[in-house]
Amino acid sequence: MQIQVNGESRQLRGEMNVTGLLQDLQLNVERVAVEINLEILERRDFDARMLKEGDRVEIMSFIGGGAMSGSSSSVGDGLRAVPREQRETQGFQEMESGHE
Amino acid sequence: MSDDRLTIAGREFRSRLWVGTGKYKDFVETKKAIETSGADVVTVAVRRVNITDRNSENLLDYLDPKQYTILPNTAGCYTVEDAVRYARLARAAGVSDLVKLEVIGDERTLFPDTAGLIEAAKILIKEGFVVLPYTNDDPIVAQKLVDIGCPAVMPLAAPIGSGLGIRNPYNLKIILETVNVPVIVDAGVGTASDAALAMEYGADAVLMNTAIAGAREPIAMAEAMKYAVEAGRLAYKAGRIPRKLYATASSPIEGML
Repeated sequence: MQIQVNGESRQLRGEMNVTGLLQDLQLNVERVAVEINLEILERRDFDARMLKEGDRVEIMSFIGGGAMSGSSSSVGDGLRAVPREQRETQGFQEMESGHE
Repeated sequence: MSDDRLTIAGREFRSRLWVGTGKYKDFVETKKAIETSGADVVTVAVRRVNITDRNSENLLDYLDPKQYTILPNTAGCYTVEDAVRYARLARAAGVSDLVKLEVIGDERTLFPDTAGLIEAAKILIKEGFVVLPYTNDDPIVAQKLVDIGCPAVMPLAAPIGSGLGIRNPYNLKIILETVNVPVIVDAGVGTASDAALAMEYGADAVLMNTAIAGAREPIAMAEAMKYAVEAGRLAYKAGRIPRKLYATASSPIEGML
């Protein structure tokens, strides 16, 4: 059975619930959120939810962040805005033009 | 200062300095800086777990959620749908209904899309979230956020990571006078005096990340920020003297030769 986990294809050996998948990935159940096919799965349902062919699973957790930090690996289907063509502002040469 | 606690939606906070956890060299530095800052609220982002590197460490191994209030943000979200989705994921990953709501309007300035912010806040409040909105220094928007049920507002001082300090002190003062919930100045602080100034104006807290993490010596800057926020708060409570154009002698004339 093939499923998608965080955008990558993954072959499952047989019947497996969400708890089993997290154990396979050596992840702490208490520290992750699981979304399957765009629906969030409550932690209490991790045992009951069996994975099905073609499931798109997203496993999320907390990382360091204030606002817009690090390399933001956006979930899902490219919802990031594209900046307009950038024009240089005069008179701010002493400033960096951004941190990202 | 110990009895001067900040209360938001029934939660009490000791420190009026809130800190982000991004941009540090490693988790050890993150932990040290946060301990030094004295902050008890730390913001985190929600991202995909690294499933290929099994040895990757978890931030929460370094920041005990029992010791800190973990405040997840929706950083990087440019649409209402995305922000709501990340907030729900944050709640599912964590232990509380708290969310620092960001709906970003533009990649270069990272200014908030305030129309989207209000829309997303409404949805999340209906779902029981405690929404702390990252907003612009716009008093009208701040009041609207309060009206729909945000228990605090988080206006920016300047663009995220810019270090420009408080760009619009008069608008900030109007927000402080007009909204009846705690105001947390969020983003744009560059150095200790910026944080002190925000607190002197009457802000209830200051949230920063880059100003500490991006300093040459992050741990030392964390300490500077701790004192700046405390000093600013004390000065605000003590009440500053009015500005006058001319001198007023401090020493008596009486008794002079």
